[in-house]
Amino acid sequence: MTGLILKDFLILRKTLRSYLMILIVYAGIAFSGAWSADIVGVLMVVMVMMLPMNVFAYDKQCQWDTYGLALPVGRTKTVAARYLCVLLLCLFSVALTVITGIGLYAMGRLEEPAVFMVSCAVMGLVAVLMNAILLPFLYKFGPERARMMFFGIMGGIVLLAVLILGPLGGIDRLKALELELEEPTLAQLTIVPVIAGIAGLVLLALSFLLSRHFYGNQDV
Amino acid sequence: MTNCIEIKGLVKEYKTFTLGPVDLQVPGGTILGLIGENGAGKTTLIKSMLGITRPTAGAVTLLGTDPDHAKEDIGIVLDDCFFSEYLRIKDVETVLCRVFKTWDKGLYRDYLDKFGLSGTKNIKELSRGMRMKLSLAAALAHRPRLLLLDEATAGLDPVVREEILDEFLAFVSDEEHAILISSHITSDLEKVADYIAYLHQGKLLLCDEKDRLLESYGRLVCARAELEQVDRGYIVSTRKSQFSTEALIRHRGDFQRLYPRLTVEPVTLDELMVFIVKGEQA
Repeated sequence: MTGLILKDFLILRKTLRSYLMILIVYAGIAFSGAWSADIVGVLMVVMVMMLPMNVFAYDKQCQWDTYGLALPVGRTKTVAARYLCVLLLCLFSVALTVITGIGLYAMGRLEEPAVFMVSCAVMGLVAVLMNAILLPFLYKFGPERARMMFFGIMGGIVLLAVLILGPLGGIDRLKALELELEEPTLAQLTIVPVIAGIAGLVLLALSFLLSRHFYGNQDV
Repeated sequence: MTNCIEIKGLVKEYKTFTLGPVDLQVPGGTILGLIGENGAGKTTLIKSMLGITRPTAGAVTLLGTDPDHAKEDIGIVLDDCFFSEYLRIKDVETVLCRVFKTWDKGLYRDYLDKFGLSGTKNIKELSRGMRMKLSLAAALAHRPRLLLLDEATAGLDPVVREEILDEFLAFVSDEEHAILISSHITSDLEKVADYIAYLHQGKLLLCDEKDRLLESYGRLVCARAELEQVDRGYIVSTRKSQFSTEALIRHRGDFQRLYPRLTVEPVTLDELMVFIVKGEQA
């Protein structure tokens, strides 16, 4: 199974390098003060969402699916390897974002480090959630169709949010609500990453079961 | 001599195509050549044997056990390189040495040297021939006992093909090894195969020792009137044109003793396929 995880990382080597460069650029922009440091977290979510799509597309391009099933690994472990790879990518991205945050804080460009850490945890959870939704689609429909379906679903969610939030006063109303909230304590802030971590693992586990079901019954 | 491959009543049904039932045995120390036109079911058969596609019915035993347990000892080469272009040759080892318990790093490097492949090269930079050599090196480096090759020599120049065929012959010099190779290049199979299986529209039409097949069948070229005098039991199929009449004859030796004045030429695997598919069945 480690071989398969390594394979995914080796295939993504160049892409990861490019993403790292983009992250450095964004961190530089955050340092200049032009954008908030949270932009790094948002970028991380987008990157981690794109990477599994790329791996599936590369695998399909070279018929790895067929070859992979001829290896002494088994379908369950093949799916597990892909999920572990995604989990590692999410953890790696969160770690990079946290390191960026520490760097910005050390240079006096981050005013609320605790809030930034919570934002990192939430972004990490969002990245896991996106992949938990996306991966079963990729296993069921393949990279081309899954990509379109996923973006369709995401578009639908945004549309739904607009339709629901619109009559309530939109984003401005949410911002107003935020102002009414009390400042969270440090203990409350610390628990957010723990809850996000547990929730992420549960979501990924459920998604894994679904993907294993799809892949287990698939004729490649 | 034990069978490395045993297939009993294998059936794979699709909406528009059915493979089988296929019964097949490949003894150790031999090469079975699988021939058939495009879409005859060769790739489906190989995939079904390995459980890549799930057979509708039938049983497959590879190396005396079920396919899932035999995979550690099976090398596979498909008609194209299945390693991503984003990998380097040495990355293939990094991945596969963690997949196969029996991966032999020294042997892999020996094959790379033998095939003139440099580990630092990107797969993207390799020609088709080089990629096939890489696939073969990867298939052989974990010391398999069974090789399953799907059009592994397709698109290669004769020199590379010859090198690869030599590797196959060296591989089956061990009595516990066997190869199943599907190919459209029947001349390759005539060189190396011990057995020939002919799939046509999902059905196994012929499966026999290659030498026996080539000895027992023959091509009769004669006048239409002469063909009409021949015992129909000898004729498998005929091809008639404005200028000539040809027939595929079975039991060539007996036929020649019975009809010494008629000329029967040896038949090639290509001709055998064409007669069966295109000829008029007797």
